[in-house]
Amino acid sequence: MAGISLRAIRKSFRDTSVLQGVSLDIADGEFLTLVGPSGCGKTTILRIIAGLETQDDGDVAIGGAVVDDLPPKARDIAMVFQSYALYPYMTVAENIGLPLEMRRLNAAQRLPVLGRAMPGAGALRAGIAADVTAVAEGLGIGHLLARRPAQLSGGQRQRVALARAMVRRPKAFLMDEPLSNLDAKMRVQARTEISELHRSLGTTFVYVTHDQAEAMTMSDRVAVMMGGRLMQVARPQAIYDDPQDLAVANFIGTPEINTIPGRVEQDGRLAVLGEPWPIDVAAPAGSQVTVAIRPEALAIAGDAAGSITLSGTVRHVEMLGAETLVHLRLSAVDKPVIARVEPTVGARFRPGEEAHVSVAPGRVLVFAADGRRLVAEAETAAPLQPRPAVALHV
Amino acid sequence: MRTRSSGLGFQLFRHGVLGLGAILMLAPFVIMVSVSLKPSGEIFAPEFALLPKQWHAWQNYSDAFTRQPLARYILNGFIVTGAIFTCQLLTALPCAYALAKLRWRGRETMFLLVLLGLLIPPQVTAIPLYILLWQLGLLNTYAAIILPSTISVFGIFLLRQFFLTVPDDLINAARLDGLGEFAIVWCIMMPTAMPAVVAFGVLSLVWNWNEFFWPLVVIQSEHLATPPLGVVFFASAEAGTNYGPLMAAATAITAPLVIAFLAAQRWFIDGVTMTAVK
Repeated sequence: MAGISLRAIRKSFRDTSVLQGVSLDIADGEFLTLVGPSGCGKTTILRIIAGLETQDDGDVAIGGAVVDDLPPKARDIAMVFQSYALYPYMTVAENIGLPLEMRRLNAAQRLPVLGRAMPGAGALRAGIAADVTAVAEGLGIGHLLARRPAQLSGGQRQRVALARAMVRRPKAFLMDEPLSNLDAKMRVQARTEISELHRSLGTTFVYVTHDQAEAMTMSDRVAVMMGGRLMQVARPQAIYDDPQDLAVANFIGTPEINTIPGRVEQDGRLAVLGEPWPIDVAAPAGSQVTVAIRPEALAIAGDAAGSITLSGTVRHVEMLGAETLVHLRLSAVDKPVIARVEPTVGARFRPGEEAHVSVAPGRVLVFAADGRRLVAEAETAAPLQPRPAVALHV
Repeated sequence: MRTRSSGLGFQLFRHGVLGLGAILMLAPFVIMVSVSLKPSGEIFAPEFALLPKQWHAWQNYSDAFTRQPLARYILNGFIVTGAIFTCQLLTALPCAYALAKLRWRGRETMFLLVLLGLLIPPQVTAIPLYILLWQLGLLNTYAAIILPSTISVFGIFLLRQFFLTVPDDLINAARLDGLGEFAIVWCIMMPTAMPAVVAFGVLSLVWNWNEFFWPLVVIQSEHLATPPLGVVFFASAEAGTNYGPLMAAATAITAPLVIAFLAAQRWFIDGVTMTAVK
């Protein structure tokens, strides 16, 4: 078991810069998820940690020791690949046992037929078989040991890949989108299983995904990557409630966060769609900003005192059972604003009708034109999201 | 389904053409086997029959194996083709792996050179190779037949093309599991590429078993002769009308090839069904 730290990792393929100075400390036993759109460099980071790729610049340390010059096998970490990468001509037992054979048997003992006659080979092989069986039983694939990967379902293959990674008790697990080849139902189930696995093993997990639901549900901390940079590293709820960049705010959350263009007035107050809002923004007067509001922060007008009201036309009402999404078209804004409300509240909205929704000033996020988060203080109430400390208001 | 739309006439025509082709290809073999079963009197009899009136198989085959060391020729064939194929695999597998899966400066140039090697006919290098072997004092040895064929450019090309289809993650997983690069070649790539290895094996075996030109050039001793050379020795020693034993000898040296090919066919199917893992 060990923590992993990355120091200013840079990597380019030909002329394309894939990683532009990534620094990250992953604590021992932590479940950290790297999440981001495809091509953001998250898989490259994983491969650099594993030693499958060499960084152009920067250091990787595992358990406090720099491992830059060590080959993958000497780093003592295991990886679960997106394709599972099971050896097709080996049985499940052979697949799971291979890492142990490579570590516990010497070259002579590994020989195809003669190896079994080598001194000590019998006892070592029996030990390997016992470990393989124990791990397989633990993952519920004990009955599949004699099969080949081609005879397994997607979920079973994923477990075999997990078992192969777990069997040698590595210092850390690296997982590269291990759930992306499963169907939606299996994926939700596997999410829980991997979280439970992490809790029971207590080993460091570094998990790569483009699926924000996986990132939010499984991780201790989430690292959002974009364009080869780490945008924000924080606990899942903090990433959601307190995004430090507009790109992060846009990437995390379904439906997407509502964005409305705004402007900073002479007195430092925010003006949106020509209306002054009771929010002070720490930005030069006259600068263009983006106002972002989570769909559930929007409520029916008049519900909260001191709140800001937005008026528009109802374009569409989506009833999802547990909640209702109301799409509002504000004047002079092309993109509709979406409010997430209780079904009973949502039932009051009819497409085509005029409607008013409100938001508490404390739940309005303000971003500069370059995407940076701006300090915004509601005038009436105390600020709800101090930076950089985490604010939880669920 | 194209067959459904085509008419009966076209189907008959198509099968007729294919059948004719098959007969043309098989006829020499059938006649060879047929002649090897007949006594000499029947071989040139005016009326043609596939099966002999009087079975003479035992005499022909025992003649073939006793008058000339036919068993020795076949053994030579196994030694030579086996050694050549082993050497070809030992060189082609690592080479194909390096060309397909490792990143190094000059890889594309090296692959181009391999492709160029495909274009050079063996006769072009025959004289320099002969001189080289003469200088090494290796003429008229097994080594003289084996050494020039130890590296198969075709094998490198075939295996490289197959290796390109093997996912990189499989190799990366092996690296993390503790395998070195050579272990990856033998324990991961070779079993995964079994269909290609078997296909290459069949081609290599057939080619080197039937190779006549090069053994004729470098081998003088009868006890080192490969099967095709042996048949020639046989033909010249038993000159004249003694075709029965000659055809028996020809059948005997063709049989291993046919058996190997039929065995490999089953392997092909096994191999193909095994690679269906995503």
